[in-house]
Amino acid sequence: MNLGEWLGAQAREFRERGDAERLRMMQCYVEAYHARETDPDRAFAAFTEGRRLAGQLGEPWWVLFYETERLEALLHFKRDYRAVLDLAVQAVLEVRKPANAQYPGRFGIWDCLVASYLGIDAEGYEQPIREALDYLEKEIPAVPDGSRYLLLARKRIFALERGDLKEAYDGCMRELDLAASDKDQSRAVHFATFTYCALCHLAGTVGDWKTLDEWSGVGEKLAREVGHECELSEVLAWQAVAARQLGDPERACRAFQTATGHMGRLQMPPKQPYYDALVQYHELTGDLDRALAVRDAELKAIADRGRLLYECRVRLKRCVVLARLGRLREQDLAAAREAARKLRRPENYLAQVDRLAGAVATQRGPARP
Amino acid sequence: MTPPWEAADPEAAAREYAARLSHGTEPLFVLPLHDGKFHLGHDSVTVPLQGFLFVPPGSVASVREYGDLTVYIRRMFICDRERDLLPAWARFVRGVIDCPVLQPTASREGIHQDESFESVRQVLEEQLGDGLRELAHDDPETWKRLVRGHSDLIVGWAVKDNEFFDRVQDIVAFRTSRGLLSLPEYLRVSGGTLYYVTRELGSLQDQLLAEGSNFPAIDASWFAVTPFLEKYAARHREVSLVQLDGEAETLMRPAPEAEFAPLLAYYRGKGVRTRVAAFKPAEVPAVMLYPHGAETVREAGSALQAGEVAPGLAGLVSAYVEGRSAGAGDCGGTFYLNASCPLVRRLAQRPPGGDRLAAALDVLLQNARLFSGRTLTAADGVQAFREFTRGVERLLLP
Repeated sequence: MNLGEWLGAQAREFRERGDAERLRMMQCYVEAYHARETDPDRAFAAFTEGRRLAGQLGEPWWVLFYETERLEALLHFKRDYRAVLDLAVQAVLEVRKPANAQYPGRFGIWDCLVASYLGIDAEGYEQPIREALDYLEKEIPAVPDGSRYLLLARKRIFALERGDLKEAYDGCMRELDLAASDKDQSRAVHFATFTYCALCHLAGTVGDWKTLDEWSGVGEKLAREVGHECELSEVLAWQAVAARQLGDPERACRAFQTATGHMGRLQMPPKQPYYDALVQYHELTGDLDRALAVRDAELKAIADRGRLLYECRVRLKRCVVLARLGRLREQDLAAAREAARKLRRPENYLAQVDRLAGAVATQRGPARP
Repeated sequence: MTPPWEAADPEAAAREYAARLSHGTEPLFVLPLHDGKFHLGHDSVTVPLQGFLFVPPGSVASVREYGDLTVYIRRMFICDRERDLLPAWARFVRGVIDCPVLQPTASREGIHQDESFESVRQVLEEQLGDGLRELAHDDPETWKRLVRGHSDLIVGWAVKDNEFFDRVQDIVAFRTSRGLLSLPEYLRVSGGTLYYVTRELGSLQDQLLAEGSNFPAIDASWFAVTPFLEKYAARHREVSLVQLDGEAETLMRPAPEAEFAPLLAYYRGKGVRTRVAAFKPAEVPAVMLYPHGAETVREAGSALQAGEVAPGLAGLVSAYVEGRSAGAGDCGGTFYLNASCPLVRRLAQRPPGGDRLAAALDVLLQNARLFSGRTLTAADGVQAFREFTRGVERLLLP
């Protein structure tokens, strides 16, 4: 029995016996899910409420379920990684206990542990992440199911974090194959939306504008169908880049405004590709000040959230824009260095900071006596 | 059908109406509405308004939001679940209104959000704010039940809304180790500091240390409590904030080590990280404090050793243990001798080296380990009891 089947069976059982208290406990999930994009704090609170009710009702598997949902809310709704490792390891330890050996959500718990390290420092923990993904590949049945989709998504993200675009693209294709074979089309559309976001990111990174235009159109259709506002904003931002590159500034402007308008109404923080798309858009219009403002906003959204590698990379990208504007200061470089030193493997990033510092020094010429 | 506000007993009719909307349960509070003034700076206009607001019981998951109205215009039903007329902070309130200045849309299924809409919104906010203030003042029992029924929602909104925060900051009651207390009540006891624990109920040891200092501990396990306390402390410069779990050292005052050197040497010789500090209650000779997350690190380490972690995940769990151990310095805990405890002071004055002294010191150590509870496995607990018992036996020897 997988998690979805277990939840369905539980809901039927509670309804049949008119168990209002347990139905109320389940309702917390629905409330949280609806609030995830507009108010992730409230989503987290509703999951916490669900856990509390589950504890009061003496339902250990439901406690575990809501504990995992709380973790997912931090990872995917709030994108706040400060406490995720403690929660993920606690859940992994809990699910190993004999009473939980048959708990149908164990793959989800394991996925959260992998997702935590992927979001914290995917390069630094490359080896144990790879081992975990290989293990999950063997454990999770290769059939359309939420756990399988999540595994493929983690593998794709892992490839992207390591800069292996070919592997990431192949991963996207496997995800779409899985969606095509899924009899549950609403689930397929849900997961395919994320896949098309990733495909847009890939096309935008390699500069394949026609493909970007096509994929962002498909992504928009899927995101609207399934109601994922954050992903809709992301693909629209890419659409703006594609339209601009393909010589259609009016369409680009409309897409840009819709993207930023939609995202502005959400409290869920955007993902990295959204910011990359906005920066590309502003760079295309020659507006480096706005590109810098985007990087500033990105940094504000993620700084001190436990996303060590991401923060380091954003600080570096920000330094690059500042250097192009001729406004790079020593304190910006120092902050980038400090962020790099928090990584497990900082060498590459420290070298990049040094190169930037060197280039700026060369531009300025020798110091005057 | 007669609307409740036109019934012979409007309040009873409104309660009955509200109960029907809340699946038969009585509302906690009903506020009849009346015509209100909309202020335009130098002038004001009267907004005709009938109806009532009510607060449903908080029996449904307490994060459930309401904040919606059923709207009539000249006794004609227009819409229900109208969510923009009540202020954003009032998510625990529902109501029914009849207001002739509101303008229905062409389909008559909604309301235009025009100037009249804004005037009604302001009048509603004013009457609701006044009503809640009066309730808190005149009927503290009902107010307490209201806040308890919706406290999580109220605290959550107050964090986000400064005006609402101002309204409730001194009224909201928090769960503490001495029952529900408002922050002014709490601060009168604690002398100006908010002590809180982020784990549900906190450990007995955390609570004991707080109580020993005559401070109840606030249960801040609910997501919005910590930011509420932070906001409160930020707005009241004279109030300081101390998190107890993992930081109970904040309740301790430094004490000179020289006086306790023989005791420190004994424990350090056994490899126990030991410090001396003065803390209350003075009856407690020593406590063992662990950094935040130490329990998980310990359990993870044991699970790895026993091969209980799924093989492919062992690398990530090991990385967690290594990272946590490196970050926290040591997850093994620190043994704090209480310099305020008369027994500890007497032990420190005894000549070092005697077996009875060693036995007494062992008893203190194991007692502290057992009391802290944290990071002890069942086997550790058995060993601690064994050493405790052995120490007592040595003390009883002639």
